[in-house]
Amino acid sequence: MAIRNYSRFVLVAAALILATIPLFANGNKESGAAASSAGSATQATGPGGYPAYTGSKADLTMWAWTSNENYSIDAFQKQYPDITVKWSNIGGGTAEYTKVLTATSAGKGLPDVIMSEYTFAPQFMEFGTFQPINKWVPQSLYEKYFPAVTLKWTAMDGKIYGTPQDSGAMTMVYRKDIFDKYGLTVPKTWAEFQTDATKLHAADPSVTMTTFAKNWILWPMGVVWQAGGKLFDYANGKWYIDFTNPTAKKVINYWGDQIKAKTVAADMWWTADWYKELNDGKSATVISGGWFPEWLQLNAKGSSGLWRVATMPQWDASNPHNGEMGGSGFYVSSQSQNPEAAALFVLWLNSAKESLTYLHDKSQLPILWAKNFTDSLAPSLMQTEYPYFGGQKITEPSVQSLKEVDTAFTALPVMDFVQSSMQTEMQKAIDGTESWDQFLQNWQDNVVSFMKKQGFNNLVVGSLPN
Amino acid sequence: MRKTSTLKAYAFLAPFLVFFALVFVYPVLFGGYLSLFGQRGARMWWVGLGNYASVLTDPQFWGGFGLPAFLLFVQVPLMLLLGIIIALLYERIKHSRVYRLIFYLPYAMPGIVAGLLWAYIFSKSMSPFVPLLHAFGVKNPNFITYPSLPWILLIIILWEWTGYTSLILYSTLLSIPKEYAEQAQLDGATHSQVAYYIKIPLLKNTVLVLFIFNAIGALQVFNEPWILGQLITLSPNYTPAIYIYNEAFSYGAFTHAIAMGLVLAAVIFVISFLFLRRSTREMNVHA
Repeated sequence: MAIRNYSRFVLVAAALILATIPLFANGNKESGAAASSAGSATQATGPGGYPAYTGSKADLTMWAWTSNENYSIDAFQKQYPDITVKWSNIGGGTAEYTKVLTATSAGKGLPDVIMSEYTFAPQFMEFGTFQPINKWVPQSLYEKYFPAVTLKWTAMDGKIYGTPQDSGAMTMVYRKDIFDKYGLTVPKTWAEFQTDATKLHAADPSVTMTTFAKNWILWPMGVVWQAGGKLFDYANGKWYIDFTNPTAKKVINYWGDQIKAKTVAADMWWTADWYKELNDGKSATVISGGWFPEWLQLNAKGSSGLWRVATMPQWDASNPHNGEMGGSGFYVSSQSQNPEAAALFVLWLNSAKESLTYLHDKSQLPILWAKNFTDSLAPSLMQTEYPYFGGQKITEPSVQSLKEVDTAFTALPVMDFVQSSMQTEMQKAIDGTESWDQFLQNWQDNVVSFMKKQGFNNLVVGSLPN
Repeated sequence: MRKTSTLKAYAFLAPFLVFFALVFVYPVLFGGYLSLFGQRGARMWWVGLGNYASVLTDPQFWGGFGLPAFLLFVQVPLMLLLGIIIALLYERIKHSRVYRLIFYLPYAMPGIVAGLLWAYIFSKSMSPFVPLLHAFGVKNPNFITYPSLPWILLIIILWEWTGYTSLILYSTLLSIPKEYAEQAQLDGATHSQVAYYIKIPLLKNTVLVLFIFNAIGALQVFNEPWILGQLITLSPNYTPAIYIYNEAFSYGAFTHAIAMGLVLAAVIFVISFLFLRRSTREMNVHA
């Protein structure tokens, strides 16, 4: 079909195009205005002082393994009627991370919101799994609801990717019946802990003071953290690695000496054998994150009533510190088509008082990072008695533990390998074929060479940023 | 005439060929293409044969062949020997059908269930063997340690596969004409002499095929060590297959893992090919 009158065609086409220009101009102006207003203090306020949602109807999907999230979700959907959230639990921890890695690499398949432990989030940030949400949750708004220290796990290079949910602030749960039987006092310092351990071993060699988790990276990382130290960090575009710093050596040798003396066991956690040991009273204490009481209630039902929660023993009782073992944040994925809705959801989920109450009561998360929790809600929960812990009001030591976390650092983006290389190298130290100092050195060498092989050329080995 | 019969043949083969092409040929070719790229997250960049160079010079990858080599040189011959003995016994004993069923059952059991079972058997606190060992004065037995791990795997794999192997050998024995054995017995041979001089040589071809399949299985071994990984920490390269899995699903380096997988496949192919060629040459000489 040939064009009969070419010049007329050109004129009509040009006219049509010119006529549509005003539409484009309006569009640009609107989005330009939106871009400048979001992220400033003049953000439109919505329900309960939270930002208003300026987009159209959105259906979000989420992968998370916290139990009973649906209560918070229902409450959120009432506050933001244009947003619905569909939650799937596709497995906890590694089970979910495998799928996240695969979907990220495939370029599709990720949900809008992803739950990730703080230690694994840097890997996903580096991998390209998350997208920044500063536009809707700028740092000023973030710090209104969450302590700045948590930015080490939810942000990198100034880009905020999500919000923190529960805290893994370390507590010590102990068996009151064992302590009473052998006349042990609840240790306030690590020196007292070691004395208790020796006393217990002398009285009954089949019971150990605690079990060093030899297959869980968060344990050695946590005990070093609790001493005010760290093994790695991220700053200014570089990954810092130093496993042999003095704090790390002090802490690891403290545990190594006790393992050698057999007053402390070194074993695998999260196995059926280990839960049985806890029930049977083969371990007098468990050092773990603040969420462990919930775990214990579900997995060691046989010893209900015998456990108590205490704050951690300190290296210097006049200068308490604490570290974290675990805890998870909620992040917005890079494949999300509704990042504004997802950002508002993760903000509200982890900081709104109504949501926090559900997370504490229904999801059994004892301590949450949001300022609304520590400042407003926690005081009213202090009086709750927990039958599993013999009626103890466990919120108080748990919140105290949270308040003692005053340092933070970013984990390496290869935590899976850090953990597996730790396991193989540590077994040699446990068996006595190498010293614990040597273990730290060899482990560090393995991690550094692995990261180089994976293409990381921005490593600083042997020093740590402040 | 011939044309229609060939067409008919292809028509019958078509469902399998389509399936095979989609599920096997296409992924291998596409994977081979992807393995020419470096990858991190959704970013990819051309590296040509860089992945392969890195795999071939990786001591971790080749170090992982230790356990498969152990299985190849210890477990496979042992299992074939046991299989032959059991198959010969199937012919001799009464109620052999019952025994054939019982020994076959481990093969029919799903791997996960078997894994859980063995985890309990080797558990320090819940194993049914622990009271037995206590009676012999062994306190706190620790079944699974790094040195004992290959032998534990040996036990588990033998338990899983010997029944199946013996059944296949038994079916080969059934195809041996009875006249051979009867003739030998008339000449005064004992049962064991019949077995050794007549039956076992005739099993050679079956044994060869079984050896190759089991060798491939040994080099690719994944399930059994993986299950034991719940009870003892394994190094990331404990077997090449576990190393490949970790590379892909724990570190997200998919294209590098593909290169590893293809190198492993090439190694297995070369070993199988050499072995097959050597044995067929022997067979042709004897024939």
